[in-house]
Amino acid sequence: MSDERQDDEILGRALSRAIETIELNETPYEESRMLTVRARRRFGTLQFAGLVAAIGAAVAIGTWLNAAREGTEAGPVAASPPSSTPAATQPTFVTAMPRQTATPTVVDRSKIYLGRLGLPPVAVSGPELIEPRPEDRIASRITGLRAYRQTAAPQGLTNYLWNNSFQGGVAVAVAADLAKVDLLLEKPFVAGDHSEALAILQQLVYTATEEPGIRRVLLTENGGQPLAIGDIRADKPLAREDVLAYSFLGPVGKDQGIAWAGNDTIPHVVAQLGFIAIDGTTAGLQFRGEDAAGTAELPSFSIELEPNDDTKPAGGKSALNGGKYVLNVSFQWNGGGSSGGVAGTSIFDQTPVRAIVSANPLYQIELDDARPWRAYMPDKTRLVVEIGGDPRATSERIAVTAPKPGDRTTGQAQFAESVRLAGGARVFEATVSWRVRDATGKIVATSHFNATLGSSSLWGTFDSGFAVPASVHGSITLEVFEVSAQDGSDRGTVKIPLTVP
Amino acid sequence: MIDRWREVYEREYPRLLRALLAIGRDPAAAEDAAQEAFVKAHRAGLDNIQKLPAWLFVVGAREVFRKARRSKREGELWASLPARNDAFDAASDRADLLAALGELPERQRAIVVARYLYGLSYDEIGEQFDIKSGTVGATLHQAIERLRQIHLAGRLARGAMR
Repeated sequence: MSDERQDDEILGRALSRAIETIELNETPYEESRMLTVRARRRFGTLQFAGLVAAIGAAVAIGTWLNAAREGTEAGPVAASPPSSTPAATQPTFVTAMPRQTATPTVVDRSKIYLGRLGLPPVAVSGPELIEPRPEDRIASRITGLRAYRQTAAPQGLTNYLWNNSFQGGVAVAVAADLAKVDLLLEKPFVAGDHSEALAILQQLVYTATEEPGIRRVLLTENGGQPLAIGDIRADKPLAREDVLAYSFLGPVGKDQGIAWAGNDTIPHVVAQLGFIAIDGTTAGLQFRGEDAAGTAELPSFSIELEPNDDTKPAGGKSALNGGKYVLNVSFQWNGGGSSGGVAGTSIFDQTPVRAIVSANPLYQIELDDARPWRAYMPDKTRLVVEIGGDPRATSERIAVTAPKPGDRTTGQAQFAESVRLAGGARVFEATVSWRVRDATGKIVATSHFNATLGSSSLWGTFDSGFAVPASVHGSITLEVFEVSAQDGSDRGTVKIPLTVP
Repeated sequence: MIDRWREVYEREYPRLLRALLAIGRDPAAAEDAAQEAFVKAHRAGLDNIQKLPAWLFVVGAREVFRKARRSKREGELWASLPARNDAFDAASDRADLLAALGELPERQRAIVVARYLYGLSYDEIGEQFDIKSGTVGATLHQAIERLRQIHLAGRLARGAMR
């Protein structure tokens, strides 16, 4: 068998295995159509309840990147092997699909949050809440955090409160949007270093503010003393945004949004939400323009992040379900008659997306917090909205998606620009600069390349490379930045720690 | 007789439904087509069908595509694939592969599944899906190559999302 045939066989078999793992809701033999004369069988046994037809929650968001690159010079993606491998500790988990439970029409309010070093916390289902009072529900979630065994945690997530100092005694008071949470501690929290301390603080703040209507929490210990966790003292009310590890937050408010003039001459153009990926740190959504004939250029649109009142009851096609923030993606409607879109709500409950309320041409993405977001247009028919990103690789101007912090470069890193450097940028004249520092902080390599777009409200993408001199080994830092047009200083710098073998 | 059908149904129905779901992406249509395939097999009679599993798949696949053509817009067929609770990488890699399969033209989807899940020969594939004998191998390779590219792009992008 030729190598090519053998490769085909391998992929074919992998595909077969993938098909064999599709979960089914099987129709038993007794109810099969062979035995029943009923003309129409019960339909959609596999359909996810709560998933509107227009929201095809496919699983990879790959297509946009593919085409984005085809638009440049790089050729087929298959030809560019990744030149770095993730470090073994890279947390990987969480699926990108809505929950497959019976007709979820409301978000899961029991959520508690587990931690990750250097990354935002991630929600998991907590204790069942039967308490009528918000104070008691907050207390119940926080004691639930203590009781959540580390062995039950999804891969990559850590419950830093498991087996730590907090044994479950908690007193809660609520005043407007502030919760006062006092923890009974026999001894101080154990935190190995600052990032562990921050992870514990994030778990507590996110879990306490999970209660609808609560946006801030004042954490104290043993009857009102400011809570100390390692080197952190929580001496003032904290919102989720105060403990996020990003150097900046998502722009909030209408005047901070993106407005884009698209092609409004095409009648009946609709925007279909096509691809979505959610992984705890980042959510990516792709919208695609469609007219009666198929793919069409997108109409004008605007995107804005706004605070959301998460106490509103769910139900009704436009009621929001309870994200602390909502990202409104609003398209211009250019046709007559029905928009053709399906109104509905999809519950995701996977950090950072709680739900998506769609009433084409408006999509409302309900979010857990105001982490940074950005938007790309790979071409005139597609819009990609990216929410989040690794805080170490994300600034207000640069978002590097490869390499990842902690990656170990492999192969021949010393050859010119042979290690992949990809992501998005919104920088002056589209010029993205990079430099590599060795373990002592000395600059050992530097250069620049262009993104697809410069300083516009939409971001440009880049897929280029960087190099490391052959003499450099061990820990390095890759810095990616914009050179300021005003004074030549670095702006929007991200610093990505890497290892060269 | 009934018992033989039960045995066949319980053995073949899950694989058939999965295969139709993989190529059609519409759960309701896949279930409908799977049931229809069994009804047709039942009418034809168990003893008159050779290679029943492949027969069911071919009939079911045609049914899925017939329905898909009738359906107004592809957008309405963008259905989700079931989630699994395993570690993200393994599950999402499988899901990526299935999503990539969905990007292929419908006939290519069907012959890839016919070949690798049902083990049909080139001759059988050519006959069942109206492909000139002699070009089945090339068509199949083309489909797999395209699948590989889409899949790789998806994985890169997913890596980029992490």
